[in-house]
Amino acid sequence: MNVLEVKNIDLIYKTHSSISFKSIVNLFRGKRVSTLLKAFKALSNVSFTLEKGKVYGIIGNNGAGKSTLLRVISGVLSPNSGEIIRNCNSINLLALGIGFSHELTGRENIYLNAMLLGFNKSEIDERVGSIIDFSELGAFIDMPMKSYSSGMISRLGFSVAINMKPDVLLIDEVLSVGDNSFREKSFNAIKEIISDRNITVVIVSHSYQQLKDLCDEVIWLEKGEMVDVGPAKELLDIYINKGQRRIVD
Amino acid sequence: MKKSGIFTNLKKNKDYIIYYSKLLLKQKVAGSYLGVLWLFLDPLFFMLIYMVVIKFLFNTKVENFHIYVFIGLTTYKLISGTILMNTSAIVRNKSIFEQVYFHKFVYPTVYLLVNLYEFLIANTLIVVLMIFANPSIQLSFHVLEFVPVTIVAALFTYGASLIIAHFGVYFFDLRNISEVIFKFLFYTSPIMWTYEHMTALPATIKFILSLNPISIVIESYRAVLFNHASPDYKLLLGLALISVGLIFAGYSLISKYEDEYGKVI
Repeated sequence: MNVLEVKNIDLIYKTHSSISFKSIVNLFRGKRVSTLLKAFKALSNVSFTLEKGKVYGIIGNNGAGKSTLLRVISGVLSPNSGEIIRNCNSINLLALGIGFSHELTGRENIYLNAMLLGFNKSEIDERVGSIIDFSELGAFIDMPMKSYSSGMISRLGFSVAINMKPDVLLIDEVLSVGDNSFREKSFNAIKEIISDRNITVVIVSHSYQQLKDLCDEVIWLEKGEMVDVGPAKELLDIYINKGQRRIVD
Repeated sequence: MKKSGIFTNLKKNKDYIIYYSKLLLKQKVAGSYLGVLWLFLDPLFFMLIYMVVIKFLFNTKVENFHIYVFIGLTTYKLISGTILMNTSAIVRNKSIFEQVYFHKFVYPTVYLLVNLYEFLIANTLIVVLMIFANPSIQLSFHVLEFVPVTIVAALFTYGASLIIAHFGVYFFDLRNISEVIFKFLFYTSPIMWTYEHMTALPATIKFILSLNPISIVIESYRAVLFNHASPDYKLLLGLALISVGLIFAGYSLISKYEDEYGKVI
């Protein structure tokens, strides 16, 4: 069963520059003012389907459009052309610490974060205990977040995020969080979700070993265009070889 | 993604809107020793300063002029503060909606609530001050009409905020423009002066000035709190209808274009 179909999508970002004194002067002189709006194509003609329960990886160099593609799948960005057919209830980007405020306590931030992920207050009330346990923050949970170390903040973010069990889980480079023991724990938690055959997972990572271990298939992007999609091990080998050849050249 | 109406979305995001607005209020005083007390001390000191300044510097025949001025100032602060905050409402929260889908009307709603809380605290203090600091002032049942006036004030502020939040994504200059406009409105609204003071002003200009929404709301509050009278309900109703129109216009603008916001960098 396909949970998600992506058909020929394009995505264009727009940027704009401010009017400078120079451009105002030019305007009054009747000269042509350079366009303030600029656009660049981050994704072009990308198509693939996601099957239920499978684990997908997205590979490609920096700026290939990997994170943009995840945002399009999650619905945060809508494509300029093409279409996305979703056959599932919830798609979530495993994003750490969305909306965290450093002035507020850890507990308040759990509520804020989980509400942004689509939970209501009573659902969070039920889970807040296990979230705090998983984060191992102890008494720090009722202290302002500005007293936390960066590792503690990402631990808390991960603990909230991992308590989400969506139909499709999107993971963007969050496989290494906190110290060694917590990293192992979080990696196991993700593995547990991945092994759940009801959840489809899409991972963006630069760790090819992890992708080889976890993924069934990978989607290969380059400069916003899709190069290939196929079985993880074979495609990753080709991709890694190509990268090495480039370094030798 | 399918878009639902404003009431469905308000209900859906109710928990977050209420929780976040409360936290923002708390965040304003976070880290200070007096904490939540500042939410009351701030307007209180503000009032005391005006009380002293007006008593010694203003030569006015209006009785209890300081209260007259407070009412004008708090109302002005509610409307201008909320709208100015909302010029950057969506841009400011970009990092959030880059990661989760969220209907963007949530932010203007949250900022309206934060300002409303502060406004209500300040106005409660005004009433308390009226009773304790000056026993000669008496309150009447017209104080209850504070509620409909506040509803209209909130509706107008909300409508203007939604519209300005949408355009604020594309024009960062909107904040600067709005600041200029509000500065102008500050002096042309009867905040520090009364219409009776302005004897040199032609009647037509007075009439035009009195139609400015800030002026309508301020005069309504004064009627209710200061003059023991009912507000001009015809004017208020007119403003309410326009405001509801603004809210629906603003909401549909945001609904229509919110998917584009993430692509504007």
